[in-house]
Amino acid sequence: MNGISILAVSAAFAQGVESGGLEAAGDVTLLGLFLQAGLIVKLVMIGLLVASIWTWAIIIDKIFLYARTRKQLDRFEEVFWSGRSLEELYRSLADRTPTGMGALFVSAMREWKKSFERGASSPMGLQARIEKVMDVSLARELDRLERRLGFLASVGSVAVYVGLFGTVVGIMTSFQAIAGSKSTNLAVVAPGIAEALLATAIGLLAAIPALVAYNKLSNDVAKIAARLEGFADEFSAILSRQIDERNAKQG
Amino acid sequence: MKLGVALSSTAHAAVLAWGLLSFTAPAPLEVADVEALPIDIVPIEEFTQSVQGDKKADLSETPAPTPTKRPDVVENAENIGESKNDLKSEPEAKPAEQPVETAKADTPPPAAKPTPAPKVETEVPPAPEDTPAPTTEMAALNDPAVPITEETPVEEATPAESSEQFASLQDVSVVPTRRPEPPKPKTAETTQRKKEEKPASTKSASSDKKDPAVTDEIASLLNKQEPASSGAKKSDQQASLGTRKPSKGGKLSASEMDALRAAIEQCWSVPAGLADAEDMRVTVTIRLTPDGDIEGSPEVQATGGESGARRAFAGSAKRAVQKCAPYSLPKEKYDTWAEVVVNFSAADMF
Repeated sequence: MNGISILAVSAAFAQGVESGGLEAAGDVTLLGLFLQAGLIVKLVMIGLLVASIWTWAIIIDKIFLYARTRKQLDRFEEVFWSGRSLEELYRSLADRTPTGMGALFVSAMREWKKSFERGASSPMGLQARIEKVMDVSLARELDRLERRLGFLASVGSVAVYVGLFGTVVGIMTSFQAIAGSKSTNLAVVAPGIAEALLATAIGLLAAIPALVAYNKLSNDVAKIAARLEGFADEFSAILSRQIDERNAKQG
Repeated sequence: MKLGVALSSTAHAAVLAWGLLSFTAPAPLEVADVEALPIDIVPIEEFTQSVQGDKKADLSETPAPTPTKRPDVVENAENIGESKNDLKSEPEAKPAEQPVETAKADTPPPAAKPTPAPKVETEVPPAPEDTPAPTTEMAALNDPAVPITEETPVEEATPAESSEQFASLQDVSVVPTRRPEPPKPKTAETTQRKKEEKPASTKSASSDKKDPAVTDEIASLLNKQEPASSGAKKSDQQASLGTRKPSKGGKLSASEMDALRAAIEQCWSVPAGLADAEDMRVTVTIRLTPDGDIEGSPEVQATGGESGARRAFAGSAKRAVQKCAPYSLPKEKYDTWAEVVVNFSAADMF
């Protein structure tokens, strides 16, 4: 099926070359190259362009998101270690939907409160529940941060091949144009090859920033995740101490 | 996310717009409207090989020998010339004609009776056999000739000549004929005749300027061959610079050389058990006849190795070359393989 479509495209391309003559062959502007290209090459180019736009959208979004997240973490840590009571902090945060460390804190405090309100007295069970809740919250936060980074990785590794595919198809069609026009004149071949190479160029243009950004952003995510995990451990340690103190008072 | 998409889209649009503006068609190559120059690729051999022509003519486009005058065409003639038969070698000069010519040439200066005599007499050395009959009186007449002739052994011949001159003066149409009887007093030994030629030619050199007829005659004496008139091929083109016999310029093709090499290799039985033979080299030079046979004995030069081994090796090479004869090589390229140098190297065998 694929082969048939390629042949049809090439026939159309050959006709275009023959009827277009020298003016069409001489058009090597960006738009001219795009318009001359075969259907497959056009689709590849458009796909790569969309991928590039989406890649950059993700990059910009993530850069702002991570900057924002880091700022929130800093502010929360400042507030958390400022000596305010946890109850007060919880009350101020519980109304709005917090992110980052706030989300961990709120989820852990909520579980703590529920346990004490219902009168559950097993300290070991409470500790385990709090840790589990915090794990879930941490996973949710990380998922929010890492969302769409996979697309960057895909574009970084696949866009080159897609562009190469467009190039191969374009060169195939231009060779078929040689066969059709029975002339190896460079003027016959050059536009086809230039158009084909344009596909690879767009592929590289999409892939390089995607790959660089993926490496940088995933590194940033790892750092943020480490900070969150550190906070979760610290907070669970604090809560565990509180539980022990309460048990000692009660006992 | 909306912000990211918007920013990304605008950035891409900007980049594309910039690409559309900057990636325009390249400036068309300006080609000056000049006429095309025709260029021929000619092998250098055309110029290095001599072409058929005349040595003294100016160089012209087409090679051509001296034009011939004979109108009739001799079939299958290969050599340019005026003769009826197509001869390869030029004919020998005919000695019989010369006395006649000289006698005729000598007739024009009749006015100065006594003075030109000594000149003329010396000019005609190859006619000593001519009649010496009136020798005595004329010798007495030609006083200045006497001292000269006395120095040389021509003395008898010279008066004879001069007397002949005078005889022809009276009767111009009479051509002096050769007589079989050599004059008696003349010293007829060939050695003496050789000697007599020398002073004669020196004298004639001194008298060159005066008489063009005399110089012609000397030229005909010195140049014992007739000028180009051997072949029978017609040529009506303007003579061009070149040689009478053009070099064919052929060289053995690679396949012919390979065939020769293979033939010799087959005939070569390599002596067994050669020690230190890697650096032995034998060069065998053979001269070949047009039939491909070896002319004379091959010259063998051997270098390297121990003397015994070298001798055996050289012998085997010589035998190989002799065993292979006659060689079958293209006859038309005989010039190139008249002498063949065969190199035998022992290094290739190990």
